[in-house]
Amino acid sequence: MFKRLRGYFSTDLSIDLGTANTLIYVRDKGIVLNEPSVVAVQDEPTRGGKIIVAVGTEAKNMLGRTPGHITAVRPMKDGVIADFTYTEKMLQYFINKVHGNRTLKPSPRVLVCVPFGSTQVERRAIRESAEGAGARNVAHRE
Amino acid sequence: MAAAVGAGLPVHEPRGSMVLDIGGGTSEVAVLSLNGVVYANSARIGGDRFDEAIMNYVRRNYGILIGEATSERIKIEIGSAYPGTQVRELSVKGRNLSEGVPRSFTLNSNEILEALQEPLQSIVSAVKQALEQTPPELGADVAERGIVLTGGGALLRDIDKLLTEETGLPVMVADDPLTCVARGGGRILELMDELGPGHFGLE
Repeated sequence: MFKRLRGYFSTDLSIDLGTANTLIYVRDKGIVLNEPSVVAVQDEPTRGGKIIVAVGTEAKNMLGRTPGHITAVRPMKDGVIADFTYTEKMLQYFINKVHGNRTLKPSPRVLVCVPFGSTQVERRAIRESAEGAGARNVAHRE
Repeated sequence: MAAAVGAGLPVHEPRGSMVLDIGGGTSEVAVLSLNGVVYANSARIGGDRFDEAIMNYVRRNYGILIGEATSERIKIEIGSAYPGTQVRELSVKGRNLSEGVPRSFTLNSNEILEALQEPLQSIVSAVKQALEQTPPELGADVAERGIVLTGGGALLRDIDKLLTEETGLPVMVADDPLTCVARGGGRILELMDELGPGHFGLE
């Protein structure tokens, strides 16, 4: 119910969540984001987990060049989600990045494009990732 | 589907449109008519597989190990899908396996063409399979209007020539192939507001 209220302050997004690049299209604005689907994560033993140090282009430059405590990963593989948590984090980062309105946490209506052959399990993973990233209403399209 | 809308194909008409989307991880070929998918197939071959093929080729023939980023750069700068008149060269650096020391060497576009043969053939056979499975009436429309390429893989030099040669059909690359899917998705969202979600068979 609160999500719906927040929805009034958000715009519709169309996301191409690709293996190599993620693109976001906003109505009336065109393509607003085009970045590689890469996340760089750093081990943080004190806080008992991992923190994200970079997403997108910055993280892509780190691929294959990371020291021991940082890993640069591509959370999508073969058009499907290989790493659920990082995909969610990455989407969250991208959605926040394209949203100018910061007073309310954005909760846009989202259309995610999925590969045709993807299974129900894969689609559900994408849906949950997008919902976890704050999407209000997620639709799929091949 | 989204790719076809983004490429500006008349998918709402009762005519067959064929679209081939070569992405990073998968390639998808689909025949669409009346806003619906008539036939679609997805092959797990894409840009990543091209990079891998180049990496393996260089390791086998030069005994040199290169990274993913270098491999991608080679593909973008001198990769092609069809023998061209002009041979391009690129100097790259990688670790020599027998000496264990980084070395510089030169690759040319014909070698990359050879390296890419296997993944390219898989894409061609996916397209041929799609053409075989398409109902004849729609197949005739496709023969008349051709296949549209989208996705990053469409940027590979002369991939349209390769497909024209293999299928005998006109093939064209969409405008701005990288952003087709996202733009098409946006257009579908707009149409959904006008016509209702059922119109596109959305979940």
